[in-house]
Amino acid sequence: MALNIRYFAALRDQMGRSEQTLDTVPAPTGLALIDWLMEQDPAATALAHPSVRLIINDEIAPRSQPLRDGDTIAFCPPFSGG
Amino acid sequence: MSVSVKVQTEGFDPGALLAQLTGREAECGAIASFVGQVRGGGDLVALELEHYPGVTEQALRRIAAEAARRWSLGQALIVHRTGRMAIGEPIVFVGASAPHRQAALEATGFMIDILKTQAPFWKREHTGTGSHWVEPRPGDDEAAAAWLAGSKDFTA
Repeated sequence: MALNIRYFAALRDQMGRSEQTLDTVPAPTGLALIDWLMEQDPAATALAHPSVRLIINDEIAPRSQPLRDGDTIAFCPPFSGG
Repeated sequence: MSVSVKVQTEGFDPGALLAQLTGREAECGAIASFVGQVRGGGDLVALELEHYPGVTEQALRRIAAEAARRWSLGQALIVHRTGRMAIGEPIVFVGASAPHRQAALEATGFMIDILKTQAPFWKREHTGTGSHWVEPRPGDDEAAAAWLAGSKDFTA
């Protein structure tokens, strides 16, 4: 399964990149994706914080949502607009 | 009823946006608005706003539409800047016109409170010694939760 990953704001700084494409990821859900990313890079522990929100294909989604080939998953720190 | 939202890097004139809400609908007797601007203090030099293009606009449209669903409105207008801003520059304009003041005031309060927790914007403060991302205030979540109590199905 191929996934497009985006990191915003403080998480981009912590991950050292704004996006990446993963070609073969054994991650059936957002939760599994976070676990897999943490195995690849210790900095990804920041993604596991409960305040981090996932936006999957432009919609806020729970970590338990099943992922599909070609999905775009954005990791977002708490919003602070206005 | 019309809903208008815009995310832009250019500055804006709050007075001109207020004028867009005024005098358009004969049945509207009330206009309310909120303007957020960059607050100085400490050794702040500038504020930088980042967002998630596409998703942000969609969230703002849903927030304005939800306000129009909850209250009888003539117009709902949200304009939000991104990029780097100096102290005192406007960041966000939220406004509503309605037949009566309560709807205009409440809709305006709803839109800015929900925007703060449901639209993907992030603030970074630049100071004389460096820069850091701004953490949301706990009160922001509480204000949004108060509006959404009993309607947890709404997400922007």
